[in-house]
Amino acid sequence: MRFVFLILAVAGLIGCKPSNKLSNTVVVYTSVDDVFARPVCEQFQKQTGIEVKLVPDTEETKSTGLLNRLIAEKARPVADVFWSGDPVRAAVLKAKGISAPFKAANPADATGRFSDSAGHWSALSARARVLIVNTNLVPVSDAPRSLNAFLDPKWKGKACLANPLFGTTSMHAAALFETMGEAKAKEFFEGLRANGVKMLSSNGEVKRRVAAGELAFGLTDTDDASVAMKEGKAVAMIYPDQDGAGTLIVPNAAVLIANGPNPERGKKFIEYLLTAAVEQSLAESEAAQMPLRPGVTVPSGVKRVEEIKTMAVDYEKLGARLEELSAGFLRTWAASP
Amino acid sequence: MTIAGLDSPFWFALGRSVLVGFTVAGGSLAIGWPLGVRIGLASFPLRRFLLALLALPLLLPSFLIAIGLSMLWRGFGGAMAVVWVFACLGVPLVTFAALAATLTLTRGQADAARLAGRERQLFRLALRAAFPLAGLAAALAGTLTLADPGPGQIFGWPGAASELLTSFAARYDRALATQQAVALAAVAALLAWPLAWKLAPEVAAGLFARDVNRPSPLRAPATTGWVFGVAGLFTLLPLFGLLKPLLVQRRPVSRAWSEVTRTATDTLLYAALAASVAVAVAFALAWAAGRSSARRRWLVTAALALLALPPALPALWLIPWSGRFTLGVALALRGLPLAILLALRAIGSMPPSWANAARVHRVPRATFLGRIALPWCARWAFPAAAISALLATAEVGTVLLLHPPGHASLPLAVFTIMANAPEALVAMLCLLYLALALTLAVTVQQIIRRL
Repeated sequence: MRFVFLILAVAGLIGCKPSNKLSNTVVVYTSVDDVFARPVCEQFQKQTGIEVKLVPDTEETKSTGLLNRLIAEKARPVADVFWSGDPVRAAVLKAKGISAPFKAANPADATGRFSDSAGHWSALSARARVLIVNTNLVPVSDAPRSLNAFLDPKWKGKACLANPLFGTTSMHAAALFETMGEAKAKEFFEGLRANGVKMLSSNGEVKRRVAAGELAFGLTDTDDASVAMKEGKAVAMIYPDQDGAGTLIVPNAAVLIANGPNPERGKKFIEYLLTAAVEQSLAESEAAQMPLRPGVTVPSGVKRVEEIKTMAVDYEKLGARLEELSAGFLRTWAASP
Repeated sequence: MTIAGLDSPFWFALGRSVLVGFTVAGGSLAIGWPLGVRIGLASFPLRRFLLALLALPLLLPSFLIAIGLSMLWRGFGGAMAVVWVFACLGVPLVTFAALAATLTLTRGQADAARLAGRERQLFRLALRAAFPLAGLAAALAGTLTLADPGPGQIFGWPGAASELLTSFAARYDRALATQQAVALAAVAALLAWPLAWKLAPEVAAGLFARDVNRPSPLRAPATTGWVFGVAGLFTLLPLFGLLKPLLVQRRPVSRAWSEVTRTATDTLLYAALAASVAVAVAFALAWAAGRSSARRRWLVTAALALLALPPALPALWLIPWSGRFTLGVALALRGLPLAILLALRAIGSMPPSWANAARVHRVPRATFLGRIALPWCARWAFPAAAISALLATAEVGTVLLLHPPGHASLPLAVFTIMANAPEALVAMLCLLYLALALTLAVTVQQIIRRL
């Protein structure tokens, strides 16, 4: 009995003890998948001796998300850097006054096409929104090449996408509303329902169901498709709408948090993220991300951004558009049977 | 159309949630109540082992069970799948509650029932005796479903908890999420009130038996084993789906083990903190409720309403004070309702004559508390602590929001790496997590036995 109380007392004491020594550490929140972000952080730690305290976000069923934590911590930030898997969440942080401008000396995105002009986020390695196709069910030559395939009666009940309220699918939905216009985009989404397109919990689930042969094709990210291909699954990856509106590119975004506890180390970490070495390692990893910096060598199977026709979108506008859609059309659409 | 400031999609989703909650509560009661009573009265081979197997789903977060089921049966979805996942938690919960209640029957009661109408009468008596606890356990199981968005998201049957998730995860609107949570808790309290009114006094009153002999066990008919087997299979099937990749892919033991060693200390620490806070608060509340039936009813209703609150919501408001202790307190809210029920049982079943005798003999209050009351309550406090610890460990959203950087829990690690990690790694992590939770459960059981 006494022994148990002793354990509880010790637990209480440890619990009260401040857990973060801020000396020589940098706190990084990331929505990039843990399996890809952690090796990069470990490499930074090895090179600089600065300890990285990594807080990754979750995927399946979408937990409350780190963005909420960053918003709630605005008055007393805990994080130094937010390494976002897409620029839309970075744009939200900028709009809410949580990020600080920082322009790295040697940016990966030299043209500034994917980065914030005021320096609130710097883009690096990108993913793309692609079609993952089960090659046992559909030969590559017959595979769909456009998002319009989701509306084709030929594929009725055989296609899937993730819940458009969360993750990169939400960004993609906002991009479609921006590029197609309100009326056409709504028509497109209603068409998805009419054609029996399945809405799944996440991009990972889209990958799993298509790879298992349960569905013919789905909309997901390049990293999900790439992992499935490297696991030997019978799938192919198609960059959609190369003859039309183009493929949506989802670059990573490095954000310096305003008034973070270790701003200098935060800047150092961002500088590191933007190096060619990191872009190369992300390209060589299972994530197979496309480098933005010219001259970075990519393994076979990984495309460069300049090799594909990209969808023309203003990432900053997508943040505001997404908030509006999440409260309105997409919410109703996602809840309908 | 808006009611109480909330629009119709929310109320529609709430209707779905209530439907799932009722189905899970009803189904769990229909299976778990007679099963628990039968197991409590009967003796059959491998009884303990089968009970341990039945308890396994209780150790896992619901989203892992949902993923296991989706991996096992591709294409299965909708309301039935959501009900199945929650029933995997509800059936064992009700079974164990009914079993615990049946085990309090004495030999004298059993013999009297047998004299009146043989084994059938004994079974009826045991069913009646077990109903208050089993009924409340079923209500808890149904209420738990209201707060959990995971299975609904995975199987395409979003309920009120998904609406809440959307409010704060996609719209960053804490105020709206809070409003929705209050509506959800109010509906849960409204539905729970009649049950609390009927059962709370019975649950808390308990029985102080002078006859401590256990009734002689029934020779179990073959059907008991079959029913047990089917119920066990029904709840364990999703776990097979979860572990299936280990059969066909290379087992990444060392990578999984490094994740476990990175997170084990913090996982145990959070569990210990949550358990101690939950037990302390629950016993303080139960002590305050005392033997008043009205106060007990209010406390049981409040406990059920608290269980309906998505745990991540209080965490959102606690972020400015994030840290290990805050996390422990927030996680304690998860197990608090169950701890309250057990604390009510502990305080209610302590004979008032003990306190009277102590008063007559002028025993100092501290001595009475230390030598009599606390050891008595410990029998209930340890199961309460174990359940709180397990529920706290399985909670992911709260830990994500409040954990100090670099100090994640094991389920959070599983949740974060499962996105693009090989399926075998996720399966291996789940297996290790299960082993950790099982070790914790067995340790607590050993402690209780020694008391």
